[in-house]
Order: sequence, then C-alpha cells, then structure tokens
Amino acid sequence: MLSSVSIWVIFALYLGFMLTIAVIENKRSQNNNARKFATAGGSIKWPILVMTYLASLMSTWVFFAGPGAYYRGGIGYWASELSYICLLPVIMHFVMNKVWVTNSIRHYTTPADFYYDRFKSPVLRLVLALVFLSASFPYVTSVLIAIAKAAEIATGGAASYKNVVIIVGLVIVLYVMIGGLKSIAITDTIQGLVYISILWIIVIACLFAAFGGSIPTAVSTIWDNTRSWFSYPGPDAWVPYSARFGYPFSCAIGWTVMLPHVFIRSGYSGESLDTQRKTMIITPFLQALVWTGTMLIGMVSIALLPGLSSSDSEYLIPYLIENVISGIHPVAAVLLMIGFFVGAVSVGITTADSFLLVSGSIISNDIISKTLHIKLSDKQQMLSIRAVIAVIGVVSIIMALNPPDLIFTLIMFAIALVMPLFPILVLGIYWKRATKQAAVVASIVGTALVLMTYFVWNMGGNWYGAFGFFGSLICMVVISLFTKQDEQDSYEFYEALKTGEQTYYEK
Amino acid sequence: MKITKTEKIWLIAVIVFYVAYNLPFVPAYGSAKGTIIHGLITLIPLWIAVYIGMFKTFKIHPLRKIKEKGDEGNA
Repeated sequence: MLSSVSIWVIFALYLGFMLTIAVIENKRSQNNNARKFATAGGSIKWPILVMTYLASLMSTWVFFAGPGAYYRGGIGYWASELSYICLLPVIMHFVMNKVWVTNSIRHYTTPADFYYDRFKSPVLRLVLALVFLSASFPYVTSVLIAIAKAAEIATGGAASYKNVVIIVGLVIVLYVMIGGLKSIAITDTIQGLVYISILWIIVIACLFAAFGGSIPTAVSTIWDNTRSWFSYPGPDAWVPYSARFGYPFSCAIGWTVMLPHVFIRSGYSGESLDTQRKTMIITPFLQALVWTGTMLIGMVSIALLPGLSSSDSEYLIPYLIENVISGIHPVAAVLLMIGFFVGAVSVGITTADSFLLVSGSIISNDIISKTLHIKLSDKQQMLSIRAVIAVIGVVSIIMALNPPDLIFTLIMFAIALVMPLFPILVLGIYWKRATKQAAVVASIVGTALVLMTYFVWNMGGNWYGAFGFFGSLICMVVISLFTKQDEQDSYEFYEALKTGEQTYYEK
Repeated sequence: MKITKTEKIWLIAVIVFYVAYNLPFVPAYGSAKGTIIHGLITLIPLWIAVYIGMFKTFKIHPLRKIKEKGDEGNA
C-alpha cells in the first residue's frame, strides 16, 4: 500500500527526531555517572514518569498480536486485563514506594542493587542480574523483528526486512548510548502520545467504516453472530480455567513492576513521592485506554470478519485497512497505513530502548563492576555501559536478521521469569527475619520452576510464573525460619527505609 | 511506618474483588450473560475499592513538603 521510499522518509524523520532529542538531553542533563544515565537519578517529573512507564510497558503487541488476541479471546480476555491493571496503585503503595524511599537515600543503579543492599549476598546479585538480563534480552530482538515486519506489511513487501532491521537497530543503539534514561523518557512521552492517538484514530475509522460509528450496532452484530465472543473461553476457546488464574496473576506482578525497566521507573526514577502518587492515580486509566482501543479493534474485526485464521488475526489492523477501509476511502486507508506503521515503530522503540539501557547497566554495574570487581571510574563506567549497549544492540540486530525459533517463547516467559523475585522483594522489605540463604535458594528454585513450567511440563501458556512465584515464596519463608543472618547486614537498609519514611511522610 | 487498619482493609478488599473476578470455574464457560454480569459485579467494585482505598491512604499518610534538590532529585 505504501512505497518503499515513503517508508524510508518516515523512518528518516522519526529516527532523526529521536537522535536530536538524545543529543539535546545529553548536553542538558550532563550524564556524568552511571546512576544518572541509567535511572535519571530520581529526577523525572510525573507527566514524563507516567508516560515512560506506560510506553515502555506496551510493546508492539498493541498493534500486532493484541487486536488478534481480543479477536480470539473475547471480551473476557479484556476484562481479565482490567482486573490486574488497576492493582498498580496497591503494589506501588505497599512495595515500590518503599523501594523509592530507600533508593532516595541509598542511590541504586540496577534492580539487583536493591536486593543486595537488603541481603548482602553477591551470589544473589549475580543470580538476579542474570534473571533480569534474560528477561530483557529477547525483547530488543523481538521489537526489531516487529518493526521490520510492519515495514514489510505496510509496503506489501517492497521495504527490505534486512535493511530495516539493520538501520533501525543501529539508530536505536546510537540513541540509547547518547541519551540515557532521561532522553528515553522524553521520547517515550512523545511517542506514547503518538501511538495512543493513532490507535484510537484507527479504532474510530474502523468503527465508522463498518458500523457508521455505532458501538451498539457492532455489539449487537457480534451478539447475534458470534456470541462466544462474550463468554469464556472465547471464540477460539483458548482461555482454559488455569489461564483464568495464571495469566492475570503473572501480569499483575511480573509485567507491572518486576520487569527490570519498569522496576527502575516505578522504584528509582520518580522525582518525589508526590510523583509516585500521581503515577499511581493516572497510569491504570491510561493502560485501560490503550487496552480498550486494542480490544475495540478486535471487536470490530470479529463483527466484520468472523472466522479469520490465527495467522490472519495476528495482523488485524493492516488487514482491516486493506480489506475494509481501502474499499470505502482509499486516501484514508493510505493515511491509516502510515499511522499503523508509525504507531508500531513508536510503541516498539519505546520498549526496545528501555530494555537496551537496563541490559547495559545490569552487565556493567552488576556483573563487571560488582561481581568481577573491576574498578572503574565514573567516566570508565559510563564508557562500559555504552560499550555494553552497543554490543547487546549489535547481537540483537544479528539475532533479528535470523531469528531463532526460541525467541518468541523467550519473550512469552520473560514476564514469568521475574515473578519469583517478587516474594523476595516483599519479604525483604517487611520481614527482618528473611535471610540471604533463603533469598538465594528462592531465586534459584523459583527460576527453575518457571523454566520447568515452560519446557518440562509444557504448561507455560496457562500458568506462566505462578509455580515459580509460590515456590519462591515457600522457600523464602521456610529457609528463613531455619537459617540466620547477622542483623548488621540489613541494618543500613532498614535505617534508610525508616529515615526516608520519616523524611517524606508527615505521619 | 506501620501498616494502618485502613491499609489492611484496603488490601483485603482489593484481593477479595480481584480473586472474585479471576476465580476459575466462575462464570460458567459459554455463558455470555453470566460473563457480563460477573464482570460488572466484580470489576467495578474492584476499581472503586482500589481508588477509594488509595485516596484514604493518601489522607492517612500526608507527604511533607520538601524543597527540590536539583538534578539528583530525591537524593
């Protein structure tokens, strides 16, 4: 539908804009140490924090698999999303705001820094670094694949997949290396607004093209023709009872706060506790806005085109534009296809850049500096983070050029993989009796259980990280009761938490 | 900072409604009306419980006004 030239013009404008922001922000914020570069040093104001949190969470799923998932899973799947996205304020109040308070005094760089400060275990730090890294790595590759796929679809195959992966990949790497979290947060905000607007323009256009803009007409058409869309297990019967529990439970914890890039945003980057609170208030509504837009595309599609195959439903938006809208209004169809492409690129880049940055800081801080004990000055550490970002970026590009079959499986269980770390975090904050021995065993057993859920028992698609979570929880409690750790190890951590709470709260 | 009674009630209410929505076997599979009614009577109270509890908690724990400290922000 679009020519290869128009795609490259859009790319040039878009990537040029990102690089400009990175250069300006780098000059403005003087990124002279790793903490400031990787976490923005706790200086992000609430509108930016809300948008960067939201944008980095939403991957290319919004424009690709998302509408298809609602098409096949029905309204129950959307309701399931609504049941956990509203939990963010609760999780932030009881957990992440305490992380924020402690960080404000102890100044962490990576998620593992927080755990180390509480448990003083280098083994735990290494295990966590590897788990967080494993959860981050496949995302960058997957986003490059999705963006190149979007270019291919939008141009009917005229844009070269290989060229898109290489050029977009290199520009993202360059932009993350220059700017750090502050510039990522600013571009996330702009790109977040762009893709949410585009998503809703596509929703409204599809609704008007098919049903004269009437949601009730669309609903009654589905009610008459595909009533299974309104009930579990959905039209494609892919929501078994086990997934009713496993999916929202894993997303509530793994996706919402434990993926490393969102852990940093919800626990380290906010400017103040007031910023944290505003994020708690606004974010669930914005998340609901995005998921509802995605769900409505799935809804319009099932009303218009019931019975599509799984592979066709993966690309519902371009499918609707080409098969429904272009017949009614060809110019609008071209504009919407540009919108689909820009939206897919922006939602993808906001996820990839965040993971790239956090992966760089994990390797540089947790592994090179804190595990291998290679002493680096601030300048050398900054250089090492940037070098690591470049290496990870290039490896991701190479993987995207020839993606292994495992890549999508890895992405699916990235959320599950970080779930076992949540009980360690909560008990570390609230239970002084929790020991490092328990934390090490819990992290290893929990991770092993997640791996077994996926690759031995073949139940990952329904249970996600649930077994790993409960295994980790049980290990934390039981082993802590049977082991002891010197109270001095956690003394500074608890003092920082206490001092911080006295500083920031009136009572 | 100790967890207050209001915070405990908040946490319990949210967990109850969350579990009520995500309870396996409820609603019966294939029941469109059941799914909609079940969603309405659990999800709406869940969202209300989250927000009422949050604002009550904000009132119980007011924040001190702290002067901004430059680029290190919260440091």
